[in-house]
Amino acid sequence: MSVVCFTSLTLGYLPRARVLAETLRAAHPDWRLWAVLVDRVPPAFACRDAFAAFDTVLDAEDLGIARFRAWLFRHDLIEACTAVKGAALLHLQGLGIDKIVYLDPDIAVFHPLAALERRLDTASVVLTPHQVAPNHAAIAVSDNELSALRHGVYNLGFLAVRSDAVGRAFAAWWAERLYAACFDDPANGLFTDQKYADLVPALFDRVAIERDPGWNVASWNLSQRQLRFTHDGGITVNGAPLAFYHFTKHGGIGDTMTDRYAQGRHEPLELWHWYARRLAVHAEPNLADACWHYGQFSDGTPIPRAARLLYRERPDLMAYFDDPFDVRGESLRAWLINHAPHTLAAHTR
Amino acid sequence: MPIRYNPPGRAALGGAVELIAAGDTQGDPAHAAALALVAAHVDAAFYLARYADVAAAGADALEHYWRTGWREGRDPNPWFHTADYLRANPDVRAAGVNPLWHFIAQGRHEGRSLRPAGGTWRAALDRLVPAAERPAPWTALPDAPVLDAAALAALLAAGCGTARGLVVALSHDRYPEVPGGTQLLVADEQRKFNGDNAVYLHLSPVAARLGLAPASPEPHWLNVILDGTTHGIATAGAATVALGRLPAELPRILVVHALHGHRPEAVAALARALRPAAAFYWVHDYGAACGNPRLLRNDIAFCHAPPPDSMACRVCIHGDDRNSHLQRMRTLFEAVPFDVVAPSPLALAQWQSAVALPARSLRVHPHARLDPLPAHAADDGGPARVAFIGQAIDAKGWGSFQELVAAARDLAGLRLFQFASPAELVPLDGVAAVPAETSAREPFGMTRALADHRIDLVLALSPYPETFGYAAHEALAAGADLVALAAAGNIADLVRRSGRGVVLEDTAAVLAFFTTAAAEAHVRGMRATGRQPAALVHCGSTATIVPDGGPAPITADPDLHLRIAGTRLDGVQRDGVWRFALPAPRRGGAHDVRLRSRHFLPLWDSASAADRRRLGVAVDTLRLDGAPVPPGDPRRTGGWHAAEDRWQWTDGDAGIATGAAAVLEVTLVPMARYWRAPLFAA
Repeated sequence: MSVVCFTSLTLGYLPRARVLAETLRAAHPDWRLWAVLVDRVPPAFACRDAFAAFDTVLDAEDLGIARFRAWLFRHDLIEACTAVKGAALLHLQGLGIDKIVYLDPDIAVFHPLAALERRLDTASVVLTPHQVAPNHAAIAVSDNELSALRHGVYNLGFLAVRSDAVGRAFAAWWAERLYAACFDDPANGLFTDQKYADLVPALFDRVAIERDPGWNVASWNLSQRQLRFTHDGGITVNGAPLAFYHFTKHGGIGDTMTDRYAQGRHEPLELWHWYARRLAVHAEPNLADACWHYGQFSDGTPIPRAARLLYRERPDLMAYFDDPFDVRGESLRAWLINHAPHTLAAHTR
Repeated sequence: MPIRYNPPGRAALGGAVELIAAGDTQGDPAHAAALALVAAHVDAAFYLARYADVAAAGADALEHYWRTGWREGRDPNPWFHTADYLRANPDVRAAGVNPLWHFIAQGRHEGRSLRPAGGTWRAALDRLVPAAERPAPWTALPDAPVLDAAALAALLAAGCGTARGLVVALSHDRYPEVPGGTQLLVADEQRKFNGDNAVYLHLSPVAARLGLAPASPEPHWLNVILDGTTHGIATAGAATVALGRLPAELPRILVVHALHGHRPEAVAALARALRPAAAFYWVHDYGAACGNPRLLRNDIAFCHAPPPDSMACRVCIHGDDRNSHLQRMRTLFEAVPFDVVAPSPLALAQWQSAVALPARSLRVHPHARLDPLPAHAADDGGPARVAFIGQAIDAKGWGSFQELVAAARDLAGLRLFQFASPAELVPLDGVAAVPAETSAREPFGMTRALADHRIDLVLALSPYPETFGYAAHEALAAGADLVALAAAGNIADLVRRSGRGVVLEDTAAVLAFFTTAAAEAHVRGMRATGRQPAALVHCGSTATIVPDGGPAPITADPDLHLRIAGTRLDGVQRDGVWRFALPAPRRGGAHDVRLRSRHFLPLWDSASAADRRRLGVAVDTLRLDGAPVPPGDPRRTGGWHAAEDRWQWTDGDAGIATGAAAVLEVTLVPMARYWRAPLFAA
């Protein structure tokens, strides 16, 4: 029974996904790796070579999501990439794949995950919490624990599901919730796909909460995790092998957070710097100027976030416009110009 | 000690800033003063070697760095990192002034950090450059003659015609001109081999780099130094051809001190052509295990040379070509049966655990020993004098030293020093910068400087196991004690063996040692028992290696002979008289006759040796056709020391104007101890 690992990305994250692919291949040449692309490849770009590291590339539009383009318009980039995960999981289960793992494209694998495969023999859903040890300093409590209360106890950069009865029930429930509301709205208790996971241990049986400190190491739990290199060249976290590291917001706020919680040690910084080097190796200059396909109307003008937010609250608009991205003829944009011009004034996504 | 930040903006940095930032200040005295301040710290040689584009444009280093270089993030010298300083001091960046000027004029007095807070590691990581992108500066002199195979063969033939043997040695730079322990060792080795009439050919890569030179169809250029004199450059191919033309009966030895910048394939070819009786490989560093000879993962922490497919190698910037590196080293060691020589038991142990290469033999041969000298009463009270020796780089613990400097600002009982060559001295407030270096010309410069300044403690903060720790030996020779990190390899061993100092677990323990006054107590104890200097005796180069069952380096045979027009002439020795039958002089000219011999012991150079002259034989009587040639006679031309009573020392290679004489007779003052290279003793 082979394992399929899938990730969800736009073209901007292709270099990261390539690092995921190369590290996962090294650890698990036996697993198959799928990429769910929530984007369109520009005609000039060679799709086959770009995704050579993956066994299969699925266009999100082919996942069987109802009224895909009308539905997708409600989501910004992060929301879109997370919203399709439920449908992708259902799709893989429908193909008869028994053990399915999801990893974010900005994760790198450092050790075989045989323990995970074994976990899925006795559990139907496996989750990793953001933190598995309490924080103490006020700033750490704020950055880490309070953040988890807003954004979700479990980090859904990782998810593992068995295609048994519980696993299928979970997938169906999750896909339904994501279809309805996969939004970045912490004030209303929603954070993309992730906050829903808080309910999973309560709603479902056979849910494993994986607390091994080597899994899903990131800046939000570095304060309680000591990374060390062993004399024979392994990497450990609190003494356990480093399984996978989540390089969240690398090149952005993640740099600051990693510095802050590295506790004056160099090991996390060495990993962080290694990741920068791998990104440089996998950089895709052809895509440097490409924009997210679903971030713009069909004539290339960016879609302002205000327009999406309004659209989100108007199910009648979603029901009426099959393709809200299309600006020809009787279009959503024409409707917005007439009825809500303020939403088009701001040029932010 | 809190760092005081001036409020952002130019005004806070003083009026000179306005002028300097304006940039259009030619002839302005304030500008000239600022430029002069900076000029002392812009190392032009370093700058032009590091930034080939600036050198190629013919720009003046100081002008370039002053105006544009700093904006491009370039560094003006080995110790000031422009990007680090600006990152650490955002107000300086905002003011748009030259950061080096700011540090010298103002920043160091305010205790500004040279690197971002908590950013020691990030700064080091940001400076990492993949092997393929590292510059390989061209180290040949601009007008260096190019020697083809014929020229090199002729050069060798001229020297080897009368030689006892030939040594072909490889290291990574032109040793007569570069300070450092390894360079000193090579120079000493060359002189000793020369002293026993062996020729010493030294080859170093013209394109200098750490790690192996890439294999390539392009010619591989080597600097050629013969008996300490630089002759030019030659390709490895030409050298191979030239060595292949040596007379078969000439004994030869190959010595590899360092392969940095060399192609192991070229070394194997040289060895094949040379067919040495023995090939030595010195473990001065761990270059056999990785392109990074200090085995510092990402130039930060000692990695213990894990397997090349380990996660550590995957994450390390030096791991990318480690497999290729190891393969090339293995190929070399399978082609050439090396006798591996380590300068300390620890280095040998590290070799055996980190490197899995075949060797014909393994031995420990320390570079130097310390012969105790009488203790002398230590002097005063006064604060404890603590020194950092050498380059201001993390691999020598400079980052830890900077932490100590910051912590020591409030400690009255401590005086801090940096001893280094002038280009490496960092003008830090609270640290006395003393120019000092050890080189072939000044073999005991560092020891003398440390003793002159009455240093009590020398820091040895290398984060990797030093194979020998020459500077630490210099410290002990000067009568100082050592404060060593446990990770510092043979230096920590040295402390434990000698009882001279402390070994501490990590930087935190080092800081605690000083801030809790444990250091001062230690120094008081030292001063109470008296300073214990030692003679640092250079006893350990290839020249002094005694093969198993081989003869000792001391002999009663001075190997007295003549060299006439490049040819060796042996005499007949009877009843203590050497009698040489001189050939008829060439038509129209006199001979160039030289009286050559081994050297009298002690040849060991030692800082405390009273007589530092290179002595050959003590000639008692010298006769030409029966007539005496006394000391002071003008026929004793060059190579004679001042006469002592009726006898006169040669320096091992003395000239005699024999005129038309047919017989030369020499008697010597009997000495029992001449030095010979055991490897060449029959």
